[in-house]
Amino acid sequence: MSSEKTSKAGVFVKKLLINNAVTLLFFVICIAGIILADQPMSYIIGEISSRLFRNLILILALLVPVWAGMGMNFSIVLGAMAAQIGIIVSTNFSLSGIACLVVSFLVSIPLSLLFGNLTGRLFNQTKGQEMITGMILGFFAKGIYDLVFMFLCGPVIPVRNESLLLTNGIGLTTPINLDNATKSAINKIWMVSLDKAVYGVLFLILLFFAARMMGKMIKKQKISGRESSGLLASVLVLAVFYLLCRSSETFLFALRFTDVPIATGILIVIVCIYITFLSKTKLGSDIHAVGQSMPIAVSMGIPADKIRITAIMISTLLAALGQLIFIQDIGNFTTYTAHENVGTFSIAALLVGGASIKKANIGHAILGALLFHTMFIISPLAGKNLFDNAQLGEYFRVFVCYAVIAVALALHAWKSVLARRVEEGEEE
Amino acid sequence: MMVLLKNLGKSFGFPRLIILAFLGLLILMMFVLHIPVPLTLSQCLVRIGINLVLALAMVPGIMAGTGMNFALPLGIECGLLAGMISLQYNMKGIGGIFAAMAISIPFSILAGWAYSQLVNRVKGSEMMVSTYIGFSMVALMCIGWLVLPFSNASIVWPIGDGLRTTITLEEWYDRALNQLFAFRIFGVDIPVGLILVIGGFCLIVWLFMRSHLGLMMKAAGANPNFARSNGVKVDSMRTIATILSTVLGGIGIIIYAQGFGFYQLYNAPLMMAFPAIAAVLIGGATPSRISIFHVILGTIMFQSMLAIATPVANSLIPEGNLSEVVRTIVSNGIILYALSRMQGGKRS
Repeated sequence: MSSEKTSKAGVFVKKLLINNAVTLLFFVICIAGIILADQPMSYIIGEISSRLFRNLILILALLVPVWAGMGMNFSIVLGAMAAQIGIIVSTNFSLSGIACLVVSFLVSIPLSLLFGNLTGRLFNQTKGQEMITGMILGFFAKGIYDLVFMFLCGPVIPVRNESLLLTNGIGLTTPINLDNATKSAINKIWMVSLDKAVYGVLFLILLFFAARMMGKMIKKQKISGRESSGLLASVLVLAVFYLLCRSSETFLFALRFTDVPIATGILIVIVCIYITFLSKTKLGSDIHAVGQSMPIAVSMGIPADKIRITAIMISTLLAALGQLIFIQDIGNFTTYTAHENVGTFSIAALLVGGASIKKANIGHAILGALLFHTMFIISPLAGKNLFDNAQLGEYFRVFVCYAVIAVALALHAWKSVLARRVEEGEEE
Repeated sequence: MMVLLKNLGKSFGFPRLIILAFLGLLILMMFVLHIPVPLTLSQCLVRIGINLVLALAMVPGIMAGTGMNFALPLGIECGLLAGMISLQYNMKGIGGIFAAMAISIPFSILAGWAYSQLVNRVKGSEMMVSTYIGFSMVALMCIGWLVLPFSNASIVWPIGDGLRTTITLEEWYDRALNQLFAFRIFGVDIPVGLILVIGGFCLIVWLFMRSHLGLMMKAAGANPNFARSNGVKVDSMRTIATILSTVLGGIGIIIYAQGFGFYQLYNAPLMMAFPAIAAVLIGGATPSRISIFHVILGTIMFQSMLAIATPVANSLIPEGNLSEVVRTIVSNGIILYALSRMQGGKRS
């Protein structure tokens, strides 16, 4: 009896290890890297937090197509381009501050929806090969983008703001800088130091669970385990966090040293709520049905092709928003290359968080962003300390980025081949 | 007559007609803009020659049903490694080139075999997986170029670690094949040595396609289940095809480098699979059907388009790199078209 139990537990642990191998490996790499990099805690926490806020929406943009069974959407590059076109347009009319960003977003909405729609139509032509199509489409779109902004802007497309143009009047300069009022305009609305922000978020979660419990008590319903354990957990986390801050000077100092942009955070929360809400609507359940099995979805009367196009449109729109947040945080963008790595980096981050080609959620996105960007910051520093060569660390992080995607794709393909073989075996 | 034309258009393919029209326009522009024709033609010939073997590397994969080999950088890295070894030991002239090719083959066989083990486990998603395998290999070899123990002063950085990013071949075998038996007719340089060598490789692959092994490979690609029931070992056919493709990639980059005049290391091979794939697709190949004729025609069309586009674009707009943009649009456009023709993952 007991041996059976341990073997069951053994199988469970083994499964857990295999299913989260990439995430665990990354955990080890990150911890080893942090030790090797030997940087002050305030630096690491500050960098990670700013990168988290900068990149999270771009990663969240990948979720919906995964649910629709279309895999990782490499064509979010087009959404990023839409955002950049938006910024170019509003810079052309010399807008500045929040207005510049709002106009940029308004311009990028129709563009990204159009791009998303066209991409979706193309993907319906190439079912089963969406990822490679998306990737090549990204390269193709880069060609068109370059053609328009390198050669047509100036001679064919009139440009009002001359500071945008190169000196000979043909093509846009690179990089395009946002002015001081526009740079980090959304971030600057409300900055709070990290320790206060964490306390705030934890209190809000606590209040949320408490309010739900109160509501149920008033309605005289049974209190389910979820609420009470949620309440308990949030109290516990709060206590642990308080003790940590109290016991470690450096930790508290690092948190106080780091400012987090609350407005951007709220925007991210809104996107998360939208995605969660979406999966509970009719459209969301249709998307999941299409992702499960297209023939069954069609036989249930769901217009699969239309749903797939919608999924890509949502993804592209969110990517445009994400790239806009990214650029306002940095304050400038290289006109012709800023969009190139958006797809690869976001996808690698999501996969590191434990997502697969078939399954991805908000938790994967957040964990992935944390781990991936930790690796990204520390690997050149670790390379410098370990081999006296920062270049080595930079190549290493690029390698890891590609390798993670390759391994995830290969594992997924292998699993589906095995599943097919089992199915065929049963048929015989 | 109209029906005949229509059918011709259909079988030839719409994008191919566009590219042909574009090529015609470029040739017309070349005359209008008074660009020296013999010089451009010489460059066309060289470009076609040095790119042909890389395009030829697509043949075995498509024959055996693994599709377009997006993992071509794998073979290219093997070729570059062999090239570096040949430079390290100062192998010069034509002999140096062939020595580099010979050194590359064992590396390519090893890498191709290891990679084929993966390819056989991911049937149906070969293209996506192979793209990222190619990318990761390039990134891994970036680290390799930094730490491998090369010591020849002409190929490593004078200060710091690792090999140089670009290594000019003047000391070793710069354009040695191009200049072998070369002669000039009407001002056009004919690189006879290069043509002979690539002709030889085309002949070898052509003969291979007609050999017993080649026919079995074709059968395995066309209908795996039927082939298996006839006693063809489909997986080992795919393994051989992948190894062959990798070997051709390795040899291809050495021919490319000698004609180009330098080896480019680090991130240079990252995107090299795409022009090769685009070339065979322009020539009329599909992800499931290919012939030597497609490879030659496609490389001629694609590379002469690029070779003519460069001077034409430069005399129209001196700044910027218009021909690079044209290359990006055309090569990725044709790959997208081919993918959309595959109809739901099934190979038509």
